[in-house]
Amino acid sequence: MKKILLACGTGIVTSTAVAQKLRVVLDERGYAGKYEITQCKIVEAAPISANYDFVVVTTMAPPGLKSPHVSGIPFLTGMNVEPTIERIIELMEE
Amino acid sequence: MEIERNAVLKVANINESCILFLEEAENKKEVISRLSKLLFENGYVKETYEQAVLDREAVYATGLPFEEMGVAIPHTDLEHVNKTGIAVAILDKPVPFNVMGGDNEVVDVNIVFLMAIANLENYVVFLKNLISVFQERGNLIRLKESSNAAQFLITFNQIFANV
Repeated sequence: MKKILLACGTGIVTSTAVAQKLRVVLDERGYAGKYEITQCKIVEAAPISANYDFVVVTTMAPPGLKSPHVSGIPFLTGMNVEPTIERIIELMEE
Repeated sequence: MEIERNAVLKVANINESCILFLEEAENKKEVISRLSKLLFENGYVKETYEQAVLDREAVYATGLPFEEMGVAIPHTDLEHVNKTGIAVAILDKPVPFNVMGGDNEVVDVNIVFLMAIANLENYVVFLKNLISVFQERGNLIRLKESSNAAQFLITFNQIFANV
């Protein structure tokens, strides 16, 4: 089970939009049931990040993250999505 | 992912008087301030809204570089809002916004959707569907090419009613 932390400014709005897209991507690639996504506010991300396999952020990555991070913005704009998905799949396989 | 277009129309609640066509704006502050005043005059937001949006934009930028053009979706906390609505600025001359999640990256923005959101559930429905629709080819260009507020609203309603 991979633990994914999804952080945005409010911990709700942008991260929920990104979470839905991310679930579709992961399920399509056969990871259904093999991950869990937790949403949080960006200001809360660094201290809890060590408990997660990787972090998806929709703001600038905050200092002090203890696990790898990926930008979730491509899921919002549709631009540069493929490299983002490839990086996430790499992290899922680690 | 299924786009709940009608949900957007129910939530968006766009008022024709909150759609602004600007030939030129000095910067994003001017655009946000002018749109905030429209929302305030139409009862959507409290007086504190404008400054709260400007403050949030400085910390959490909302510029989004879509393939067809740059869009910004400034917003702020619920406490500054009376009822959900949006104000829109269509900019002849694009205005730079910082990119959401970017490291001081800038995107030239042609359409600003200033969102006043009174409850978070509406917000999620709104954002999720809006970005999906903006990713579909042609929609942003159609919106941008509107020649007046009435036409913008017709196009917006058509896109979200999937006509």
